[in-house]
Amino acid sequence: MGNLLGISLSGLNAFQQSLETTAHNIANVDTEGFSRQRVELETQPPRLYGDNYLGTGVIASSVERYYSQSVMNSLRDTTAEYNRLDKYTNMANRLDGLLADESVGLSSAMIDFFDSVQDLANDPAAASTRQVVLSSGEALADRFNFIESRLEDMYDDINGELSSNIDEANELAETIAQMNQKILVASNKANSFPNDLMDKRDNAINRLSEIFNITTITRGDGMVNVFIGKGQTLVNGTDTSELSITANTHDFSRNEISLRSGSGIHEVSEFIEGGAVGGLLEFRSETLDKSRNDLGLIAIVMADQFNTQHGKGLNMNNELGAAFFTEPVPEVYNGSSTGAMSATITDTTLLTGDEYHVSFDGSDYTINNKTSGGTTVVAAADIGNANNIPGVTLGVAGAAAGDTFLVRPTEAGGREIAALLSDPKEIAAAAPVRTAASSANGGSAEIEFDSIPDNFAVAANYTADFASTITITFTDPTTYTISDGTTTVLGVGYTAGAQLPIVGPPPFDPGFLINITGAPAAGDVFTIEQNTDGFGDNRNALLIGDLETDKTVLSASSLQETYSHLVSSIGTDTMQANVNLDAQNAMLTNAIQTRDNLSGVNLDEEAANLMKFQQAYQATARVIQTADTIFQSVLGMFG
Amino acid sequence: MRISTSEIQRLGVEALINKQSKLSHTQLQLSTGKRILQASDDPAGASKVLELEQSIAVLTRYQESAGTVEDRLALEESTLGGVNNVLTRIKELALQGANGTHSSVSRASISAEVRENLEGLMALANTSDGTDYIFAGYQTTTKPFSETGGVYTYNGDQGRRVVEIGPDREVIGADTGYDIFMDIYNGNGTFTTEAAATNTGAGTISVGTVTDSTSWVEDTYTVTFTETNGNLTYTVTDSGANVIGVADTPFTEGDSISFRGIEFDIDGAPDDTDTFTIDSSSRQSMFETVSNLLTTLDMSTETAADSAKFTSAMGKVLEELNLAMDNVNTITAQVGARMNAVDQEIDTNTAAVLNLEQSLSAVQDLDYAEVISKYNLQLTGLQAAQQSFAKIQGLSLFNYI
Repeated sequence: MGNLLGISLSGLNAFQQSLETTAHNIANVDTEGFSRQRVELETQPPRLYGDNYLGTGVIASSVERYYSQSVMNSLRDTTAEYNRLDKYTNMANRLDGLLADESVGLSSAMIDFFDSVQDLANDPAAASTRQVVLSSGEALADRFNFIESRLEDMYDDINGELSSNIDEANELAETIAQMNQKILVASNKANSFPNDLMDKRDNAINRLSEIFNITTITRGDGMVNVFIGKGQTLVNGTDTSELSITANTHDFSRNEISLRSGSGIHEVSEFIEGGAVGGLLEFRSETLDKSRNDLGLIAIVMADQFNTQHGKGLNMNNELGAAFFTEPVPEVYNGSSTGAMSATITDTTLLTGDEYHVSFDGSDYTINNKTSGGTTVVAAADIGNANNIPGVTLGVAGAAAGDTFLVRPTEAGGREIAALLSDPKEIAAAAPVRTAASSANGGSAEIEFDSIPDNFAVAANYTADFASTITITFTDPTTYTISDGTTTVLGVGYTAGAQLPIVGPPPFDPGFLINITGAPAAGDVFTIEQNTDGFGDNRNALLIGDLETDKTVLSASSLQETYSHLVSSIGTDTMQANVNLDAQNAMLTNAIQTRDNLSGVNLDEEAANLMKFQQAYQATARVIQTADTIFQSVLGMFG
Repeated sequence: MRISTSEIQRLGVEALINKQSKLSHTQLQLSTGKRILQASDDPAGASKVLELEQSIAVLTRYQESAGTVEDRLALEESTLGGVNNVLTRIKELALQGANGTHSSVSRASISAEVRENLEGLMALANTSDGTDYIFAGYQTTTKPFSETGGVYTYNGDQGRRVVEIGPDREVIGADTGYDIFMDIYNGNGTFTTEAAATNTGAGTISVGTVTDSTSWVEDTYTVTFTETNGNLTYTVTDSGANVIGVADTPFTEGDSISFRGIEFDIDGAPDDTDTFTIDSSSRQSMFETVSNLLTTLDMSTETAADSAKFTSAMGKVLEELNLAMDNVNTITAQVGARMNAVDQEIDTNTAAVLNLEQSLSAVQDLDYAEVISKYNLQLTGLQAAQQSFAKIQGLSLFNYI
């Protein structure tokens, strides 16, 4: 009889716990990271009554959470990958929108500039067309600077985001360590693990996997160790290693991630994969650097080619053209090296947008192309040779073994380019010399200025602005005399159709080429003189205009083509990232679904459980009532 | 399969957001009319757009250049027309003046009109388009022609400005004053004839013609007449006093004299020791020719000898005026040919631009029909997702407890 009450009480107790757990599940339907719980019911040990074992009721043996470590691990991996792609795509979309935009991209400014050069060629003497060339040249340089400053904003944003992500990661690591401590204490106290604390810890670890890829190990004492990158310990039981932001060893403007461990602080950026941090680092080193270097390449090639051609023309002050654009120089980062490296661009036709890591072992330099891979080893004596880096000549002073240098030949291009001229008269639209056949000539020969070769050097006693007048007098149809008024060279042979740089020893090789065609007669005189006041001459303007479509970049593509390659390569990257992100999103949804299918609360299910436990509770209560009735009737027998 | 309540909620919301973002992209496409909103929508297309836009810009630029060069050529053509008119009038006046019946007084009035016309010619040669002299070569700010003490100087140069009007298509945008006014040979273009000022006879010399250009040797030749016993003979000598042909060739009035591939007539009777000079032609400016006409018109015709010298000189000047007009006509024809070429290039470029614009439109413009139907479909999808979400959210077992 007493047992009836005892059994019923055990039932009431057990179902009360079940009801409470159901209530807990319902209450946490929206709690992030919560795993639904259930009460495990067991029969109580039977008692021997006579020859039979009689049941003694029920006992709630444990409260379990619905949880699978493998499901959780796959969720974390997917989360890290999703966040990497999400961050990468986010940044790539920004860059993509910037470069291809009609109003802020480079394309429209470049077209405007060459429009103005063409107008100059059509009306070279007009102050207005010259002014437009100056202002649109300035606008083009500004556009380079503007795009560059947007790129720098992105570098700054990446620095900022890395910093805030690392702060968050440190806090989460701290939380995990604290949870480890609490779980250790709780489990020691009760000989079971506190489900809700473990959920909280799992939740913190999940959030950490949004920041970077992690691996975890659950220890025997219930604590969890967390590792980042290639096995660097972030959380060890109740201890954490602090992450910090440090400056890049070469480029101090660049934030890197370091981890404090026993022996000091070590940079771990290169080991970090996945998560928002992984996405930011990857975008910075693969996409943003390339964009900045390529933009700089376009700026540098344009400035150099434009200045070179401009320098071969004569301006309205009757001087050879001065530099129109500043020519940006390479960026060299010496870091903490003993030696100092310098770099000069010596041939823009070989230049690429790649960047290089140079290390010195005491006897040889190893030049590693960080963009396209590939390593060359150069003996110390040869480091100053041209084109160890294509188009660039290096110089090193006082290098010691172990020194490393970072060389970015074109990084500064977009930032440094500027238009230099302010006076419309300084634009050199005319060719430097003009030629004339004497009106007394009897022969049919004609004279024409051809060109100035790229490597032209003004001979020692020839004035820089071609100000001497050269006279060619034919003594017979195959021989001429050449004179600049002070020096005369007699009896130079002439072959019909041959190009003359005016032959022979200086002073008569002023560096340009002259064509005389047709048949000269004895006594014919041709003069080559400075194109003084040749304001209507557009020959140099036409040659400058050709730079728009000339294959100036690596002799393979024009400036505009190089830019559109950049736009399409960033576009392809972004599109690819978008596609990958969509796919990864599906994977993440799937992983969350798998976890929720197991651990998430379903209210309908809980409602059904509620009814089930309520009924069981009511039934048990009814047993007590029955026991009471029986007890009363037994008592009544004595009443 | 078991599904959690929060998951139903999350999946529903995600579907809604996804559909909304696609709808917004489509809506942006519709409002801009562009298929490619940023390069990643179609990287190859975006790069193609940039390249096509540049090609169109380059061709449009050629069109502008062609327009400019056409205007300039038109100005040159009309100026050359003016030069031709002036030269025609001068030639008329020269023909009037050449008529021996005019008195020196009426020749003075002819001479006055020629002088006016010479100034007109100078003004045309110094034509400016408002800022630049059109016949000064490269030195467009230098006044190309000036006259000091009867000497006419060209201050420009021989540079002809070239304008790009198409891919690899260049056209000369301006001829120089040298080409038009200076680069003209005197005499008949090969040689000049002149009666010596000391001649006393009535012999006149014609401008002559070239019968065999290969036999012509440039030099200064002198034809000297000798009268022996009433018989007139002549001897041709070169600059080295060498006799050309046969010495003392008998001469009858009106005979042509020919040697070394040239031929000319001597009309009237030269006196003993009268000489005529034959020289190879050299360049003589148009202004100098007209100036020579003025000198010729001032010559005396009182005596038979004077009259003969006047006739010889007038014959030479008239021929030189013809050569000047020929030169102007040749250059006018070249200008016309260039204008035709420019017109053709403009047509070609226009067609090319149209073509490129069609390609550009095909790459970047929206197919409205397609996108609008997509838009409607996406709208319907979003509405369906919203309705089903609201319905499912309303379902709960708790409603029945």
